[in-house]
Amino acid sequence: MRSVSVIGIGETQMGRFPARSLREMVSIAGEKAILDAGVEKKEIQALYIGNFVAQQLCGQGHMGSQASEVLGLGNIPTVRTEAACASGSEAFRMGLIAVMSGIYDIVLVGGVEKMTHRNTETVTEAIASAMDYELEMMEGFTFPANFAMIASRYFHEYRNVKREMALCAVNAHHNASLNPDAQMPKEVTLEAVLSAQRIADPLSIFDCSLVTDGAAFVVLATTEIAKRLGRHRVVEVIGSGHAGDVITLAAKKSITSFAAATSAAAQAYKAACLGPGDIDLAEVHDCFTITQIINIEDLGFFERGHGGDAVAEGVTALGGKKPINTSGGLKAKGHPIGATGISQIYEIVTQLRGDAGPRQVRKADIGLTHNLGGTAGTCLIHIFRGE
Amino acid sequence: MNKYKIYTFSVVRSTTPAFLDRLPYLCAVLQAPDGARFAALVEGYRDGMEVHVDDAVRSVGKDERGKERYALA
Repeated sequence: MRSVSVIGIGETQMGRFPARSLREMVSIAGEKAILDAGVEKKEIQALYIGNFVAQQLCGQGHMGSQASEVLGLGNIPTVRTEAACASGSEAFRMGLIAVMSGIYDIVLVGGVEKMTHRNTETVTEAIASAMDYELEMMEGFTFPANFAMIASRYFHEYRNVKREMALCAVNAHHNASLNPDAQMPKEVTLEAVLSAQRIADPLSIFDCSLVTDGAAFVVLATTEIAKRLGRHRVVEVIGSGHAGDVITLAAKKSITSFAAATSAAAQAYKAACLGPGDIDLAEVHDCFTITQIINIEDLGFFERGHGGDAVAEGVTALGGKKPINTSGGLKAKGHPIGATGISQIYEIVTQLRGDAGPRQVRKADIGLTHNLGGTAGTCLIHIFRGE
Repeated sequence: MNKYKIYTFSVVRSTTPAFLDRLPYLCAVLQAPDGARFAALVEGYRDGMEVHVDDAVRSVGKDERGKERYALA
């Protein structure tokens, strides 16, 4: 297998842009990534794009062909991936495998989502299509409800970490306040999070990620090409893991650890010949604050039941020993579902290049992205090394 | 009577259009005596009631879809 690196990155501002079209967001982020890579469009051999709900919310399918037209990529093959909130990372892995295997030398990978033009109930219903329609949605389950039930069980098996969950939100908003692309770049207090409107007990609105319009793209190429271009610090993809699990919450063996995540992590660490202690920083899938606590345990950063302790001790804060979600995460940078996995990679590459400005992590050589789909029915993990 | 218990739960306060008139309602993963788990909207919840993991739940018959319904015991 060949070594592959990220040679270009681009993303839109994340936020509520109901008048902004899918085409406009693809154009902004895609053109930025290609320009950043310093390659000609005719050198791009394939396009992979993640999207979750454009058919439901925008009436738009065939996203690969649309993105190729918008970006003027000619007759190259295009693939649209859908794995709920992990759609973007799935596109990334498909592009990665294609370059690793020698099918292509340079590919464009992206994700896009347009959501805020529809009302909250309609968006909630669309997102809920990532769970089992008959068994869960028709019983009144929603994603906040599913993760609230995960939190309730976590409280039962370990201890009540409502305060530590709130601290995850406080950290996320602080980091987002330093990120010009973030949807909610403003600080929040612990008291404000704890007293916020309840959505699904024990989750309040500040425990939930955002509804976001946005797009993100990256260009992948062989590391040989990346070194020849010499435009940026080379950021090599050194580990990739992809695993699945049952779709329903009730059928999972455990709901306080996600089997898809532990399996994907094991694959990625093995490929990278690294362990959890080698990771300098990570972007993890904080669709809800309880999820961040479980994720950092699943990744092996902290012992089971002690992820909240690490958050409370400041270990996961921007200046901590293991900074988590320096971008602001899904919670405050935003969660443009099909683009989220690529947006996480955008942040890690930005940090590994040393371009993160006021939120720059001092030692940023090895970064990790962790992207869940649905109720952890899918997980993709990637590890990156700056050379 | 089968003795089901709550494996985990949440009181839902924001939902999809089809369930808006039920708010707030109790979603739960229930556990049957043989250990099997399944999703259910549990009837009989009124706002402010105390609910806990391992609380008992009883079967209260079937709905118009032929699906078994459950209520707090």
